[in-house]
Amino acid sequence: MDCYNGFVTAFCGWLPPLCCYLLHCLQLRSAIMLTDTAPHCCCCCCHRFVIKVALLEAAGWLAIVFLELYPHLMGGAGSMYETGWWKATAAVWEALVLLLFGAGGLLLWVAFGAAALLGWRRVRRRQQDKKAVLTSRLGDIRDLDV
Amino acid sequence: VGPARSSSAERLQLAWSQARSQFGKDYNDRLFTGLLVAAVAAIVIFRCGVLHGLL
Repeated sequence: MDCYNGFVTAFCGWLPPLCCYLLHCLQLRSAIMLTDTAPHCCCCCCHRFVIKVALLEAAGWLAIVFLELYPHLMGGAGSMYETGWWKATAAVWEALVLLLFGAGGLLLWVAFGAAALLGWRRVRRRQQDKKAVLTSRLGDIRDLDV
Repeated sequence: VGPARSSSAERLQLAWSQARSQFGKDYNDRLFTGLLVAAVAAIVIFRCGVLHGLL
C-alpha cells in the first residue's frame, strides 16, 4: 500500500506537465516537418539530427521519471543506494571524475576544446554557405522581376 | 593504558562509523541530485538549445 501511495504521489506531480509537454512536442515536431524547406542535403542532415536529439531528450525524460519513481516504488524494501545499479552509477561517476580531473585530464580538456572549436567552425561555415545560396537565389528572383 | 581506554576506543569507533555512514548518505544524495539536474539540463539543451540553434 505504501508502495502504491508513493507511486501515486510521485506520478501525479509529474503527470500534468508531462502531458502538456508531450502535446507541445507533437505540435512542434509536425511544424518542423511541414516548414522544412531547406535544400535536400541539408534537409537530410536536419532530419537525422532531429531524430538524434529527440532520442537524447527522451532519454532525459526517462531518467527523470525513473529517478523520481524508483525510490517511491521501493517502499520499505531498503535503500536505493544499496542496489547494484546505483553502485555501478557511482563507480562510473568516480571514474569519469578521475579521467577528467586526474593525471592527464588536461590533455582531454584540450582535445574536447579542439573538437568543439572544429565543430563550431563547421556549423558556422555551413550556415554561411546556406546564406550565400539564399542570397544568390534572391538575386535571381530580382533579375526575373526586372 | 587506563581504565577508560576500552570505552573511549568504543566511542571513537561508533563516531567513526556514524561519520562514515553520514558521508556516504550525503555523497549519494548529491549524486542523485546531480543526476536529476543532468537529466533536466539534457532535456533543455537537446530540446531548445541545440535544436533551435541548427534549424
